[in-house]
Amino acid sequence: MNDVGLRDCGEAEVWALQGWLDQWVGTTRWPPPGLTPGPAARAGLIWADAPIQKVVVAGGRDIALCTLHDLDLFNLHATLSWLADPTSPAAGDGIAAFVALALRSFPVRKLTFEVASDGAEGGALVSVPVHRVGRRPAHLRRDATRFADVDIYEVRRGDVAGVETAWEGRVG
Amino acid sequence: MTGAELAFGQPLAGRRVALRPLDRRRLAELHALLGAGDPRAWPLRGALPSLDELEEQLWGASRVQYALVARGDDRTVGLVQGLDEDLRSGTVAVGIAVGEELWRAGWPLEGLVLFLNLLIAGHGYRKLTLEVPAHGVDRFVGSSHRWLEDEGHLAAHAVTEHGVEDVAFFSLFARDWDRDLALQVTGNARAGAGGTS
Repeated sequence: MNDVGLRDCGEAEVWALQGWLDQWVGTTRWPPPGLTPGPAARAGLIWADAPIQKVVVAGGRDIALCTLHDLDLFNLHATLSWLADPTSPAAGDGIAAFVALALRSFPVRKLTFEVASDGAEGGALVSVPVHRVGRRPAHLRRDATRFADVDIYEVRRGDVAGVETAWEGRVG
Repeated sequence: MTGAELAFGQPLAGRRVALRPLDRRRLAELHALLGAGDPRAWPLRGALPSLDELEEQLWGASRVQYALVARGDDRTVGLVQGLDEDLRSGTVAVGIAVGEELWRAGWPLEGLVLFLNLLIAGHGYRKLTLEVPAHGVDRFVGSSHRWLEDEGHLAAHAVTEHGVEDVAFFSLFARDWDRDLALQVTGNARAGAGGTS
């Protein structure tokens, strides 16, 4: 297990995002080819209404931006998304740390996330047990004629209780 | 058929249901509809917003939405919405709400057929998505299965009057939409609605 940390996401991270995107686009396939994100798009990645958003740090380097959104405290679930450097071996552990933080912070039963099936990482990137609950065929446009499938995953609280404990001292 | 009953060349009126703009009158009727019934069952869960708050929520949530109106007495019976649109990928989620007294009636779903046809043949969306709680799948999806693709099931995802239920999600590709059949079942086959399928 890699040693990772989480830190708050502030204004400096908004401006750092351009560098991350330059570095990561092409492997994460985000944003879609042909789009060059400007300042507004970069700022849009910092979600004003996200209940938790953290930068993952490993080896003194920022390797991912994790976001919890669409928190539904009636039905007790939320959505997880991330932008990560897929070349970093610690990215999955960083996302796992974020999952642990989210489950400790809110009484949700599970988190859901979506991953393009032609992406570099897939659901396997997350270092916690996941359930693939569906696939949306031909859902994301890649170019004029090609569309990527999108896989839907769940991370369920009952499956990650041990992971949550293991990460207890590492998340900060 | 009058111009007011067409949008993007597609019919807005069926045999018993019509899609009408959400003006202040329709909003007020919809607000009353949302406030009635069992608060455990209704999606707003008893937390009824004011009329102004409802208007703000609806306009913030959707760029294409209509009131479902019973043609017989011009009464607002529900709402259809396009949600979470992705113009690059040509996708949009479809939401429908119907007043409690008509939950088990089939005829308001004619408005859904009109709306699906409008989104595909009128607005040109490539793919529509719909989410349905487990208890509603047989009734809601049963007759539409030839068009819908089962994409998966979110486990224990929604608290309803039936408990904590799975939610099934379906899709409808424009390529699979039978516009001629949609016009036929809504009584528009001979009305000469414009547009192409």
